Amino acid sequence: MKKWRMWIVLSVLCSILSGCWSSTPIEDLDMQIGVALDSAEESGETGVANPEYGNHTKPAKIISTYQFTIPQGSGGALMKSAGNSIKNYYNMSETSDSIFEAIRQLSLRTRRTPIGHHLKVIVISEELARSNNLTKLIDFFTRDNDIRPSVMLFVTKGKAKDVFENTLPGQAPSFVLEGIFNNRDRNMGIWEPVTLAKVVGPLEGKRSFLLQNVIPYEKEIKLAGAGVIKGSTGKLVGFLDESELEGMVWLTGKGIGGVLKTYDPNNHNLITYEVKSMHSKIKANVNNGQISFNVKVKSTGRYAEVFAKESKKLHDGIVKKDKAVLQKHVVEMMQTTVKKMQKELHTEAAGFGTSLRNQHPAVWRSVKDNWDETFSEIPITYEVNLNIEEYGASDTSAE
Amino acid sequence: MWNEVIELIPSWGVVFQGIMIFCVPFFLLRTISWAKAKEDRITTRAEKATGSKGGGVSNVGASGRTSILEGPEEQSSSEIVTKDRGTRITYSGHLKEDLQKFKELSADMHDVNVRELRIGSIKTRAALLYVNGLTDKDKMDQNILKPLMNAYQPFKNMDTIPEAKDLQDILIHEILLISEIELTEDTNLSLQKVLFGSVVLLVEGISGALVLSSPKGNTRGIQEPESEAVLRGSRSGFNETLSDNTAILRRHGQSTELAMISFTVGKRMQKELILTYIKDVANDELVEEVKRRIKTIDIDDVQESGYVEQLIEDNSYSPFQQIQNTERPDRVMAALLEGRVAILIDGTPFALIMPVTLGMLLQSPEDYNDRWMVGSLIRLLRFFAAAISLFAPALYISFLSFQPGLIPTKLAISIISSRQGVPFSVLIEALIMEISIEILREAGLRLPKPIGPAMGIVGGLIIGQAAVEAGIVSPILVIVVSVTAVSSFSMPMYSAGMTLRMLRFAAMFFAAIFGLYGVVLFFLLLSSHLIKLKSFGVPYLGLAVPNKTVNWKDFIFRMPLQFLTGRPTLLKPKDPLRKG
Repeated sequence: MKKWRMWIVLSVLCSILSGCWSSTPIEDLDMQIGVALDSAEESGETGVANPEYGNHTKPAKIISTYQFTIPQGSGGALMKSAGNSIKNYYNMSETSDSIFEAIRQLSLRTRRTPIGHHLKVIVISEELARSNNLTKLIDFFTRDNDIRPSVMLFVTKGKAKDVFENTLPGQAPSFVLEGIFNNRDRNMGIWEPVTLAKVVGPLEGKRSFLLQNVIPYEKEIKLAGAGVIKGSTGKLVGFLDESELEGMVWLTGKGIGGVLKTYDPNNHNLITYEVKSMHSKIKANVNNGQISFNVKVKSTGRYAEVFAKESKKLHDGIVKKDKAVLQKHVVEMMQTTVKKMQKELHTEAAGFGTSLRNQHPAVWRSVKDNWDETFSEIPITYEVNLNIEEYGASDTSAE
Repeated sequence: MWNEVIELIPSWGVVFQGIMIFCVPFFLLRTISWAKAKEDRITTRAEKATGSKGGGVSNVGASGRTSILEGPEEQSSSEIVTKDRGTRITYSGHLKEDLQKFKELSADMHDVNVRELRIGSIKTRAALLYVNGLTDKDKMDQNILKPLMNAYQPFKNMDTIPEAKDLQDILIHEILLISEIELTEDTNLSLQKVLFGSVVLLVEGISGALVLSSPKGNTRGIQEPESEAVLRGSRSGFNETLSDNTAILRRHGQSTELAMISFTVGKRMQKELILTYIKDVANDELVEEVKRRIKTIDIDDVQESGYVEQLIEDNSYSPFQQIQNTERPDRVMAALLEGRVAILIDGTPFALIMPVTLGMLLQSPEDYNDRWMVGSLIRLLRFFAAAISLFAPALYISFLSFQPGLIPTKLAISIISSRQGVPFSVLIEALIMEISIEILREAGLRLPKPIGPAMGIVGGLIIGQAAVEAGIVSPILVIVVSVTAVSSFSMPMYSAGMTLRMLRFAAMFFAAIFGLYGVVLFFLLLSSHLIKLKSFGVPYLGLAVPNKTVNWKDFIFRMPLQFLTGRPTLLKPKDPLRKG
């Protein structure tokens, strides 16, 4: 009987002694929701951590700005009354050449432990992205166990820190940035969300890709085109503006919905087409070693706005004419984008390489080492087929 | 070279880990097997099963029974164990002497009455012995006293008092208007019968007592079972009278295969126990095993079927009930038709059904009474509720103190804000609420009916609201706790809900110590226990493991009745098909 008791006591002791092993109550945690990476040389700032303390002779290279949430009040009553007017985030900056060191420096300043589970966005400044390989910048975030591979990456013209300062009251910039991708069916100026997981592959495979560009805009933030990361260097080579990004969306067929606006060249009337769906196919042709591409784009949609000199009934003839105008406009947009990639950026980020690799693997092997340069000389033809399915509730054009 | 070898020798930490990995499971195993051996020694189940020690006794085929008229099979006449009582006192045939003997035996029982009389025309002296209140006096006057005293017709042509044997024959066959008559020579036995409501007739010249059954116990009528109410289905529940209960089962439908085997249990307070099964369905081995276990029951008094349940179950260290208790006759009948057996005991409305599988605890007769889609969905809902009531607080604790990354961001923010200013750790906070809910439940049970709902309001609203406003607990926890409590009440078997509620606390401690990993460990522990657990030779997880597709037709989903052609194969019924 004594033995029996002893074992009970022992097993109880075992569990009590282990206690709440490595438990961290959630209220003592600080949730990082966004990180902004800036180049320290650009601004000349030395950061908050004063190098006078201790022997930190660190080459201050990166200013990392962490955005945390401020959980508001206890219980519902306070949140309801104050929910939309109080700033519910705060930013903390640290300067270090190591991003990991920077985040641990934060522990000198705050009682609560920063955790990365809920990190949503990483914004990288143009200056930093142009001078550093992206692999190095995101290494910590891809390596850390807590941080999800679903964190979205952005670049910004200007300072990344500024992006985190601007938002409507009651909203955290990081959440706004994350949520803005829900509007992809509304506007074609939004590139697909690029997460850490999607970046690692292209970076390793030396493929070029786009990162959405976000800029501070008055008191808010705005998506404005995209930055092009060159695969061979992993660095930012330039930006596509909003209409060039739209051209890219048409090229790749990655759009979900949005607006296509143009003017009738004959009478300068506005034609607005709402894109309901789109699909593109890049066909690689190899003729005697000469590579060429043919891009086929198909889309269905409807009239959003139709203007004319006088109100007239819409019929197949008008639809056919407008279709041709719209198709021409799409081709022009795509041509602009391709021209920019070929002549200015010397970077191919639209998936032509992938098509060539899939369709002519032998040819691809011979050109892949110098693909970006090869691409600059390749002729590309376009075929666009828009299908205007309906006029909407009104069957006449507006005066 | 030696250096290379020495490098391979693990450090003390690794050696210690290795020792612990071996020792902890080893000693756990030893402890458990030791406890099991101990249990066997205490109850000496094996010894009793072989009959070397006293226990429940079967009535069927037992010697010493002198039933004259065959009553129905389930008649409540019980056999007495006289072997412990020392000397046997028998009747001599002289009324005065016999009365004297009887009175000596019942010296301190003043509620035993004697009514002396003379039988009809032959004027033979006789005496009726009965107990006030237990005997139906109207019936006794009409059917015993009146025919005896007016007995002129049977003795019309007789001048002398007939022989004892003839007299007895005349009494039984021509005079007494009682269906159940027993003749016994044993004074003790007759006293016992009197004390249970029968009337004993002593006649001058007959060396024995006629036990005339006319008991009138005050019984509760058939009412709706309170612990297992259903919306659609039979409203009748068992009551405290065994004969009523067996009658309800018999009345369920006409069948000649419904067996009811009577046993007597309890050493000091003898009670009747009836084992019932369907002869051409129930597996013989199962029936024999249940009989064997009933015979091992060795206890002063079986107050309720819970006693029997605990005395014959497979594993008393398991938190899960291996025998189902129910107040519903339809549930018993359904179980019998599946090939299970049931035990009814005098004095309790709760019948026992065995063997049991986990799925049964989550079933309700309504699943079959309603159409199959509704039945399946509701059953699915119950499985879900069972999972919630077992794991919800544990998951709450582990998410909040170990895995904040698993909470959706917006919820995490609102949890953080709601927990600002809560002074306790998550475990303590959860324990406070869980324990107060349990106290409320227990208090609500004890309170008189009109106050019960008021208690719910006080507990649920005021304590919950006030605790949140006072900052003792967070509002999210109140939601978790109340959802958990409601889920555990949705179990159709109250006792199954109790098991889950009890295990919930264990899960909470596991979660507090190891987080989600602990919850997984707890689940594995529970699963390994359940896999090993057996109820009368049938695996407890029966329908799920071992996996047979046939059994899944009536497990989580209930297929339409036309597909439910077979009985559960695990029970190995004699007739495996329900139809066709």
